[in-house]
Amino acid sequence: MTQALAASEGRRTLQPSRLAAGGLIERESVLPFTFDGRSYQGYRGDTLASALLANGVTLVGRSFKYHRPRGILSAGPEEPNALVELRTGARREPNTRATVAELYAGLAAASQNRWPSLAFDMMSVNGLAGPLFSAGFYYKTFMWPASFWEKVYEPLIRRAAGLGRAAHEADPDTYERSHLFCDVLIVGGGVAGLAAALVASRSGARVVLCEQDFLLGGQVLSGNDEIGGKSAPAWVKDAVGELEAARRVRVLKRTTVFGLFDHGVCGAVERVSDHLEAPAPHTVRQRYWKIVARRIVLAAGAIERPIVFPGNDRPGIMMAGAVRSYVERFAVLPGRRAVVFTTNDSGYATARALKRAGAEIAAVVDCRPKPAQQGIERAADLPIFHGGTVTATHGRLRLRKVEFIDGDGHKHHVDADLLAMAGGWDPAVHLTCHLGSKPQWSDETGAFVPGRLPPGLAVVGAAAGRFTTAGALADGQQAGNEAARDCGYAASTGMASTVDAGGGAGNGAPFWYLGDTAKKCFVDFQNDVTAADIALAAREGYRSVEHVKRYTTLGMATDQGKNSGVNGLALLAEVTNRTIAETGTTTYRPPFTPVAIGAIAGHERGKEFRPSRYTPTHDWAAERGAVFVEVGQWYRAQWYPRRGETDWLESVNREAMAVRTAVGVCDVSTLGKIEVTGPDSGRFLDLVYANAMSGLKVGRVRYGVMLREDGHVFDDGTVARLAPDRFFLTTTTAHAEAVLRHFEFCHQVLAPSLDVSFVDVTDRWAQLAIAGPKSRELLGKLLGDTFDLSSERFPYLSVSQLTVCGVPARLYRISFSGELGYELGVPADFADALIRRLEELGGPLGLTPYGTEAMTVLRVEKGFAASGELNGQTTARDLGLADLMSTKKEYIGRAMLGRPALIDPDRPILVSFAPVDRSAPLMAGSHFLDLGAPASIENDQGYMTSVVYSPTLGHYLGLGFLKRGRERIGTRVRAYDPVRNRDVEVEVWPACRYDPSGGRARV
Amino acid sequence: MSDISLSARSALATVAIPGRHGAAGTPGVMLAELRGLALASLAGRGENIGALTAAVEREFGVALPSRPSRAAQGTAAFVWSGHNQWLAIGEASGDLVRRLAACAGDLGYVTDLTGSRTIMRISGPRARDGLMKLLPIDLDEAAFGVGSAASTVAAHMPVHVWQTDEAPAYEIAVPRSYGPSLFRSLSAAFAEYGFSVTA
Repeated sequence: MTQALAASEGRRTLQPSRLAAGGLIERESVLPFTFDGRSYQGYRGDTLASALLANGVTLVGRSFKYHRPRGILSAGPEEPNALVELRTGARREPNTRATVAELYAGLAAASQNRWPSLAFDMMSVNGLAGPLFSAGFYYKTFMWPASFWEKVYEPLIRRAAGLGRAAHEADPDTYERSHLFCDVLIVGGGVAGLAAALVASRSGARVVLCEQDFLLGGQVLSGNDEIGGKSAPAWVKDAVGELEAARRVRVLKRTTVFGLFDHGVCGAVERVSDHLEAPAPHTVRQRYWKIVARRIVLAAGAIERPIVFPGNDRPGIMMAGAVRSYVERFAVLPGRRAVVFTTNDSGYATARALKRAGAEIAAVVDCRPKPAQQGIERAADLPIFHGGTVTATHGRLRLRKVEFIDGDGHKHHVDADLLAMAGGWDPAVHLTCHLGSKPQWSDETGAFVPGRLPPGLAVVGAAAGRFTTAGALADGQQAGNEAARDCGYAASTGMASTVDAGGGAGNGAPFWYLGDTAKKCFVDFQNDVTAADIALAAREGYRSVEHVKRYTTLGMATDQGKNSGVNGLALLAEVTNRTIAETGTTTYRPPFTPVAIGAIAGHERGKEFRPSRYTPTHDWAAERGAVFVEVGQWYRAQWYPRRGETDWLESVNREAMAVRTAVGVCDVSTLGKIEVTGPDSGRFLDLVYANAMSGLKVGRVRYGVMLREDGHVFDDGTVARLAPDRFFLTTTTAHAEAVLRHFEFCHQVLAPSLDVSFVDVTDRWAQLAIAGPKSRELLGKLLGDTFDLSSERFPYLSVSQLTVCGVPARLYRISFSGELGYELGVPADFADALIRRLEELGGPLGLTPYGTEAMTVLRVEKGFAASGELNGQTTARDLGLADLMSTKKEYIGRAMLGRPALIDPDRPILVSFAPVDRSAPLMAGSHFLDLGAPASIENDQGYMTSVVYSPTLGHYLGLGFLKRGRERIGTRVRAYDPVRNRDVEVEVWPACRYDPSGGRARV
Repeated sequence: MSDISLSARSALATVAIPGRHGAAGTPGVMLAELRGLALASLAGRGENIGALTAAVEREFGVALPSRPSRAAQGTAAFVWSGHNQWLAIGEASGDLVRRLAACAGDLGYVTDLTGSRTIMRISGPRARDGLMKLLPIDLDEAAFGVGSAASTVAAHMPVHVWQTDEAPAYEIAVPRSYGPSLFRSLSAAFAEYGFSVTA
């Protein structure tokens, strides 16, 4: 019996609508919680919705558009109305369905979309302006005047739009992803899913069972079925016990399979800690599972369909199956005096459950004419009205009265605080459609059932349109056995059959009654779409179900049409004179229910968004206080500030001048490195490089340029010949992987007969550039008598393999700075010790570590191309490297680089620029214009690619491409940058501004 | 003249702090970096690798695997890494690369890769559960066991992984520059089980 309401002593009765006995809640665990600031109590095993109903709270939100008072409609993840703001602070999350939020001690929830309060919401005036806000109103309003859009309409709409508030603080919780492989994946832990899991598990298959609820059992938790002689919940308990003990079975509760993807892959989200105030230490909040299954059994059940009639959205109007769930599973009475409005046999089970719990049944309105019975007992004391329909409801913040007419046309009105709608059942077919097939309308079932199934997927129970417990049990066993057999396991024995007690099984086509005004007959509760909106859309020519969806926003809310789709298209079918089958459905796409982005991101947030790569001297550089820059995934030292330096330019200038006058060391390990071996190595390199490589002598190094097939420069680097059949080459940092892929393609596809092999050795070798007039002296200290560094024995562009301080090394005499310089390669583990040794030896010589900024200054002063110039749109000729192109061999890109557009004399070519006003800065990205020419695309003469401050010259220096650049040397043009408001006159110089003869590197 | 010998330093020197990490209690995973290894890549020349296979067997007592797996004898191991391609692993002191180059001769291509990988041994009762989070391959006993190997990705990094013990124990190799990132991803995956890092 219900507890009596507290007398007016000023004290509220705790949980006035909680039944004294029954339910699957844990009455020993009392959980305090708040809603809109008021304190209540519930039990473990409650959802927020069941706890609110137990406390007599029926008003939980305001609808999106019209701000109508709304209550809890359902008891499941399809809930459209009871969207609350859960938690506070950094964990605050909007639009949480109260029907799935598990209650925990201290839970704080608030209603949304209302101001100043739920009971008195100023925005409900929108309801008065209803006719203006009908379907597609935003396509017809806010159009004029155009100037109002940015200043008036958009800000207004932004303020009114949206549902719920996100938190602004960073999420304090962690998330992760995991993979899971299995033989049979079962989606849904109701009777059908449990039966399938049991037989598959007994056959020895690897089984994964996912259930979105925190209890397994599905529909039977809300009924009074018996299976194999015991109560259904007891049967469920035994089944779960067997599965959880089985070694090859994994049961994932609180886990929604939200999407089916190709090759038997499903995405699922496990709400690991949502039901706790905070996750346990080292435990994630949610986990995203990528499940790879050989066979999938979909046992996701069915969603009950509302009925469309005037005033069908008031608080207190609920789904009949949900009412039954609240009574049986949660021991809550959602109302004292109820009307049950049903289109099929399901409604009667609800009426009986309510009656048993002590509610009064004012009427059972059955839209079907007085029937010939089919085995459903009707309680003689239920006031049944056949062939009837509800015509109106009353009550502002809560249902008060229901009007209906019966089959004879007599009007009735009854007091009622609860109206349970049983409009039929829609199988949850969504996953069957994620790979592109559509569900099929079945007149026999009165619903959409799965259409063409993806391979390896079977559908059972209510999801397949079979609504009885016996059917679910049988389906599940059969599907479980078939799936296990398909995976190579022997089928296992059957199990007990069911005795259905109670639980009417029925279905029927969508039903509606629109009265004389279809205005307040809600189809999509969350988006406030009415039957009139659908008719309006059709009248205006939007007849396709896809158009009606977008024009009216039917099915576009967070419930994605779970409560509205079928009614909506049935109405559309009628107004457009088509059958439901002809009208069809829109497309179901993942996710089935909303998925937090955090769950998908997992560990990869912030710095961990993508992996980082560190050079072999990274720790040493960090100790030296280096400022790092991200170059792709790499961290590179950009400069090494010294104490007292106030500005990065100061540090960079010092480093660059140290290289020009003394000696510097720079870690260049990030360059791609490839070792090419085999008798045909030379021939292979001749194919991929534009310049000749097969003639390179052992012990020599050459600069190489690689083209794409279309004749543009792809990459550049150095090629060193270590042996007749062994080359070592470098690529730019950014293209390391691309070059290796290119090599593999060229070998496997273009020249498979060549006897050659390549290995990526980027991580094997650390490479340090040691550059400056004193670099030979420093290396001499390091190598002692073991190596002759003289220019006669080790001239410019030489390579040698040697041992340095006990480790194998490779020394190259190459220079990117233009000074006397070397690069020393050692196995990566030894780079840290090596650079510290160099520091010791180099101190007296003024050895200065230098970073990428100084390196750029030096190479720009020399006019050497790098990423800015190798932008994929330039040719070797543009870069001034035409002489390098071999005329004696075939190579990739040779044919196409001779195309007219690529040899047009008007093409911008590489030159350098200095500001006329020596104190002015230059900007990379500026475009060049003739002096006096208007700034327009037609007058564009080229663009600046790299800019540095040159301490050698004492002013800014840029490299760039200029039409007929060589002829214009000595003249002036304009460097124009409207984005950053710069406009500078510049002098045109040859690309190389420092030591053009190159003598300094050759000493 | 400098007669100082350079000493090696691990990529994980600042991140792999020895000791217990993550959840309290008996650690579910043990993590240790393998140091002092020699590595080389071995590739067959052409399609006829019968002679190469025989040569390697004579020198090392190991049959080169022809599918993704690891074959080992004593301190030498060969892990399949592609079509007619293997990663050879041995002790640095065992002269692996020279011996391999000598026995392969003209039959194959050998490139010294010593130091190019950070290799970690991962073992313990929860090792499999932890690795499942990062590796998109089936690690179940039915599909992957002692001797199985795979070239795959972990948290967007290219890795090579193989199982060395039934307990289970695995070894996972990643290019050296990714070492700290992989260590951090593994730490996050193992945190809920508690893990210990040994020097």
